[in-house]
Amino acid sequence: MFTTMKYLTILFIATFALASCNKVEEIAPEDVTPEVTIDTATQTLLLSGDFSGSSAHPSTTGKAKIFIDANNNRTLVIENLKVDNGPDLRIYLAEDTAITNFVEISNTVKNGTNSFAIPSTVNLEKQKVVSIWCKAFSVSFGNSSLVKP
Amino acid sequence: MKKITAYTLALLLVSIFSFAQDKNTTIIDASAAFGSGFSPSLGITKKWGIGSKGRFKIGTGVRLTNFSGSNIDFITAPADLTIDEANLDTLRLGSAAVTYVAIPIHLEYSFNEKFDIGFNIDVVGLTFGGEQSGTFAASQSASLNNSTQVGSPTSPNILLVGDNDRGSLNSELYARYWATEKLGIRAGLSFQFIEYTTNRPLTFDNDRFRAKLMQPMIGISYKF
Repeated sequence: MFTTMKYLTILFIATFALASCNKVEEIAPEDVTPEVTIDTATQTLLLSGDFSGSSAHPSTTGKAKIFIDANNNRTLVIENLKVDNGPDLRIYLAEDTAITNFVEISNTVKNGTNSFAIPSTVNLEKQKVVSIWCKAFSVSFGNSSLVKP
Repeated sequence: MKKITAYTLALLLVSIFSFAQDKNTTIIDASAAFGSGFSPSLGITKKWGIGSKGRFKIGTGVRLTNFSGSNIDFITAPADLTIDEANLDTLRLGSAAVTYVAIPIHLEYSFNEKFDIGFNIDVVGLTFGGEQSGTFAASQSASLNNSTQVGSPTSPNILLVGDNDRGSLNSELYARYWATEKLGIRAGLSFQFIEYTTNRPLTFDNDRFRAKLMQPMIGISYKF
């Protein structure tokens, strides 16, 4: 009942209001997260997992792997990713699929195989879910829960 | 001819003036809603009659609303998240207390001099209130489920479409009986959104949580 009244009121306001131009909010371009190149043959595989799609984007596929080198530099490698196009997609490492305590790994998402440096702040004992997340609209495009190989 | 024109103009002005006085009113409303909590409000409204009889009125003004309650559940608020029930988590605040001032819009219909029905809703406003702590229930987050979180009232407030509303908003659906020429009594339902923002993002990068509360309401009105 209140929802109906609310819509009627909004309609009433809109009817009496002057038409105004709608300014489309554009997502401000940000610096693109640099990708890294690694030779996986010389590194140790720590964790890996397959991507599965979300309810909104079920077709996401691919594989996520985390490697560590002799200097303890960690790298996220996403292989053969196939994900729907979307605005403002991000790659997060989080504790779960609800992206609890996430850390942003990349502010761009590309299909195919790409590698990203993992910040030292990431705790791989807890943050073991790679999430592809649409920040603008709070929608998951897929997740990969990483486990030891 | 000049006299007729002058008389006609004078008659027209007098009739418009008296007509306007009859159709347009300024009212102070004081009300209290109770149930899930306690919510007094105080507002002043200027209403303008529409149509030849002015029975349908539209108005605006200023309204101050306070809400206080215990053990109130605040659910994930952003519209982007509420479209999927799987995204909904709950912040239960042991004590919620907000005060908000808003500009509402009023729609009212007068059946006769004694009896009105009406609806009003806050359009924009500001909310004040202190931090509150509560328990966060999140089935998809092992580390945040049952954790203690702190939130503050969301401000500013704005009425939008669907779940895109932001902040705390009051609305009332009521009937009014004018006991005297100046004094009326109102009864109806109050529907409020009360919103808190946590001091950090929780699940799904969200920090906004909203309670939707429908409570019976009674009040008095004074017409100037």
